[in-house]
Amino acid sequence: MPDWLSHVIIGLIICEIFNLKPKSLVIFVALLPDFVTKISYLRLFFDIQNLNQYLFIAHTMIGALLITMIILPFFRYPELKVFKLVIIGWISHIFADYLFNFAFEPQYLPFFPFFWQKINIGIIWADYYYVITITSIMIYLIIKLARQKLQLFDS
Amino acid sequence: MSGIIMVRENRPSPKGEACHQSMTGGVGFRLTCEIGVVGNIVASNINDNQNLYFFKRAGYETLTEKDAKILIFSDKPLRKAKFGVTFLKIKYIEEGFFIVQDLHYGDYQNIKYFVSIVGLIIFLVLFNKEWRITKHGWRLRHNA
Repeated sequence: MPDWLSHVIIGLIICEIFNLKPKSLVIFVALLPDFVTKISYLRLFFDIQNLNQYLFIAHTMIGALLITMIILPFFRYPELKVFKLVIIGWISHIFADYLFNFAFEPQYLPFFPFFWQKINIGIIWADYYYVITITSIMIYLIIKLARQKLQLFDS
Repeated sequence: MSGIIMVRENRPSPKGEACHQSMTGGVGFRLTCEIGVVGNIVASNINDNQNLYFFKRAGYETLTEKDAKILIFSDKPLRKAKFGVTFLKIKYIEEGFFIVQDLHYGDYQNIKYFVSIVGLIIFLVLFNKEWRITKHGWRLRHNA
């Protein structure tokens, strides 16, 4: 899995490209599947050893819908817009995760329970996680600079 | 990753070295793949003396049984992964013999957690900039 900075930056890149606002909602959901997975650390304090095997649902499409339904009431914002941003954030998270080879990581079932195929692109190794961090930062900076140049050109 | 050869316990390596007979318990190693098949294994432990042990999870499920023990002969130093596992991409040559094509260490990386905290801080700053919490939930700030 990429680090959280990569998830944040990839979320920001998507927001910049598609001009999505509020950005923080996309980023929130881009991090949320990993936040949910971290619940498994409760096993250090409580006798819930099997919890981990249920938390994979956060990385599935059905999990994204569940998360959406849970967080929607907390935002005073048009539901359809929140829903759209949540789905985009979730896709950005899944896309970033699936770039990694799952040799070290749990394998996810994105279309569970309808389709039991484990999917991953697997072009980056977990020990080279920084490749995606550096690449995403560079892409974000290029987009920002291009935007600034275009604005200067327009004015 | 040439120079690393994996061999089933109690079989001589292609270099002619005999495996350590003292290493017992290698029973349970079974091959069901075709010659030349490339598979993945995840080793939970590699000894410091480069003759290895292990392993827990077979990424390539038809290749081995769980907890099989295999010896590794290596020209290059191998190390134990730091609080993690070692991944080996292997090519099956003949029964008991593999060539390791790729090797990665799944080390616990403190810097990755530090970078993640930086990401979390950026997210919290952005979120606080765009949303304000009220009795009825988060509302978008007017200047967001």
